[in-house]
Amino acid sequence: MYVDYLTFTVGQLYFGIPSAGVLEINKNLEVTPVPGSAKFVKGLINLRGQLVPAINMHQYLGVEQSQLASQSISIILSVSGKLVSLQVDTVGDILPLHESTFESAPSNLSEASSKLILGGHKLSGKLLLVFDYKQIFPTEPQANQLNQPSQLKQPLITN
Amino acid sequence: MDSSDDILLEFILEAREILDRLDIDFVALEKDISNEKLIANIFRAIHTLKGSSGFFAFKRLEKISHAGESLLGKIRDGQLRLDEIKTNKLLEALDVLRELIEGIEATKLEPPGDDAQLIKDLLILASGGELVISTASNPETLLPKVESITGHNDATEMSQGLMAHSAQTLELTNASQQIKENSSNIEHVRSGEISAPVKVNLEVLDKLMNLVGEMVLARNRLLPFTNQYLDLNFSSAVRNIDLLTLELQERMMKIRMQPIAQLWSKFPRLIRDVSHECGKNVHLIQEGGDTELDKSLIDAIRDPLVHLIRNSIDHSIELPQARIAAGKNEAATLALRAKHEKGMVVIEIADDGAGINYDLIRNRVVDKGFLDEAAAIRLTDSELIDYLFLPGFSTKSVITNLSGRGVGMDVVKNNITNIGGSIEIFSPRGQGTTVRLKIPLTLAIIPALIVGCENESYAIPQVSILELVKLDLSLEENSIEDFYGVKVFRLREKLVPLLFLSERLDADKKEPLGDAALNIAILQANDVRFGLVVDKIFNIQDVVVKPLDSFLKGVPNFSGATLLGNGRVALILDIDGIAAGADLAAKSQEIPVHPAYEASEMQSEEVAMLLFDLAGGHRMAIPLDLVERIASIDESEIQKNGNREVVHYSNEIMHLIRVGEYIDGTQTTRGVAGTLPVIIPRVGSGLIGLAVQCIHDIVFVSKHLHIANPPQKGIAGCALLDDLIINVIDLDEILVMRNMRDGPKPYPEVIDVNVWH
Repeated sequence: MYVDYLTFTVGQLYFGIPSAGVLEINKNLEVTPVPGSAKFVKGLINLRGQLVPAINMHQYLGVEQSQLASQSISIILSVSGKLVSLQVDTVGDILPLHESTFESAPSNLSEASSKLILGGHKLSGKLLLVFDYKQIFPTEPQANQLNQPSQLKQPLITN
Repeated sequence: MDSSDDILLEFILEAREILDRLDIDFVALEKDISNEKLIANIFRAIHTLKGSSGFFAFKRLEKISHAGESLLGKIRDGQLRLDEIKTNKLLEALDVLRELIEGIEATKLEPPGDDAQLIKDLLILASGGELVISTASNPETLLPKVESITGHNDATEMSQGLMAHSAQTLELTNASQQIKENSSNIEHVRSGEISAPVKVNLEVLDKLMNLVGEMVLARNRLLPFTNQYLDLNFSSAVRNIDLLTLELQERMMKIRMQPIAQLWSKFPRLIRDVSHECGKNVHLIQEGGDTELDKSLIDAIRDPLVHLIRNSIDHSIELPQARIAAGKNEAATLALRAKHEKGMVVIEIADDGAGINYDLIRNRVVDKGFLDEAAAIRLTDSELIDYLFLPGFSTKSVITNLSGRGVGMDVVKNNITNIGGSIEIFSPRGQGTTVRLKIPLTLAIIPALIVGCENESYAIPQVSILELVKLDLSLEENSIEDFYGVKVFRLREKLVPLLFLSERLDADKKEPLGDAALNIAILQANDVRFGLVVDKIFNIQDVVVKPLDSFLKGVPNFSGATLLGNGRVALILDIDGIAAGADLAAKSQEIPVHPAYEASEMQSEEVAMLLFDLAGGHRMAIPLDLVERIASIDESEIQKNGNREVVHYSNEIMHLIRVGEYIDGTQTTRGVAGTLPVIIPRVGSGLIGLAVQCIHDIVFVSKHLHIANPPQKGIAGCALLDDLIINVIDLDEILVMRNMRDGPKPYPEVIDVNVWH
């Protein structure tokens, strides 16, 4: 079964994401920084009246920022109704890839990294890393857990 | 259709929704019998239905749902297993509920009838017993249903009973006749009265709202072009778009905003019924019912509020005898208060009962096995309150109709946090309980001051702004002083702590203090006033508040974001957060607002006045509402325009009025040491400056002025401030006097006619 992947690069790394989740690709959108936010949040983008958080992929992936990048490219994704923008260096072709070339991540990939990377497609000459973009939204803490005093560990016994 | 009909209609719509959902859930449950989430959902839905029927005193509804809930509660807790008999019985109960709702829709009254058998069956099942026969097909239970239809409408309970007896002798044909009449009646009512409002998905409304917001921005971009191209046709077309957009925006907001009184109007009855059931005497006070908030928020806080009110009456308020013994008034007071506060809606449910029983909570903490006794004893009162928010934590040992089922504060808290709000409980021992809900206006348009800092724009909600000050450090009398490491400056002889926005946003940054003029916004956070230094001050405009999404939750200093006319994003500053971040107001969250203070603020019997002097030491005042800003001008800058005095002020021509000239008994104002304090009031479109001798302070005086008799020119009346009598000027009259004096002159009218109204 073939799946269409949108390819992009961040630093020296070559990534792909299933193109179904991609809303649009934009160049040089103005990003308003949010002081005090997490480092990988570059700021907010006004996308036709909707505020979209922009993720600095260099920071997110821990890749050196290339000084040469004169322009920023935004890949706008729609993840379960929410929009997010990935700021990447370049965007490549959309490639139809077959699952036969897919291989999951090697077991010595660090736990943090394996959360980001689902696996890789072995293309001729290079490796396309499949970025798990659904993980990018911070997991919302469950409402119930918020209420519990911290010393509580055991489950509740209800009558 | 009056308001109580509206509420009833809403109830019917809600009940139908619940029943429809229950049907689906039950069917799903049959397939997946051990799905705990589903059981909890059903349980909660029935609980809600029961609660709502409590308002309207629909006893049958309430009793059946109570019985159903008892059974479901046991199933939820795993004490009983759902089987076919139980499902059938529950579905039967559901059908009766649906019949009742239909009856209510037709006649606005609950159809009378006898559900004793059904309730008994449900309770037998709930207690773990077995049913001997299935009563669903038992003709005896069907009979009362038929009878009951004869006694609908305005029959009192007495006559209902009588008619039920006599109906037994009615022939069946007679009864069926009645049914026919009744059903035609239902049809008639359906086509006529209940044209339910169109239900629009909130998502659709949100999308529409976004589009309107975009439209406003597009309009803002379009407006400057009319000045560039002086084409009349183009201008009028743009003007048209401008007006339409404005109206669109206003309508859009109105669709979503509703006064909280709409929700509160249900409560007097609820409180009456609940307090009767508990044998308590409760007096309800409502304040701020006209506070508007978003429709979706009103819906979201309905159940939590009902729950909190029930809690207050059931748990906190004492029985009359106990109140008298404690030296309190026999009737307890339950106050509902709402108001806008710094971009949030604050809702308080306050009672003057015994408050939270901390010892009971502590025992319960130990009983439930959360902590051992030694650890529990060390818990402070506020730590004990945290336990109230745990699921299934109830201090009531007996399950009553009102509380004790474990659908508790955890659900309330979840509902509130889900909409981005917070809940706080204050309960000093023996002095009642105050529950404070802070609900954000996630979707709202608020006026905000746009300021600039480090090349970015930020918005400060106008509610937080007290005044704007320009502090020119090159002048000798102005300086920033060091209060043992804290920067302060003197504002009318009071020290005001200073924060630099650039430093707050970027901790590494240290602002070098040159001789530059500082733009300072004097802000009021929760309980502290401070000055925030910004690079630039732009303008005040209405902004659409957009919440920050999950990536930016927990970022300090910001409460939201908005889009400016040029399409750029501006972050909205969280003034309380900034103050707390700078340790200015670290404790403010923990200090409950004194109820007396709250009340006086809400009723606003007092009005703020700006106090100033005219030459000769005459103490005068002007209502602060009328004042736009205060400035100080150099006398040498005053120029003559005919017989008028004008000043060049912030790129506009400001007309100067020496107030003293218009009020008998005072002298013409002259500046001290070359500078002249000027009050700039809010009038029409022109810029006017009221020159006075000196400006003192802002004071609060009674709203009701003493009217001077005979009336004096230019003075509206006088107010008392302690022992001092202060004359309050009549701005309109002064402007009129000025225009009249200028009237005969051939010069064109300068002052906008708006000031005349």
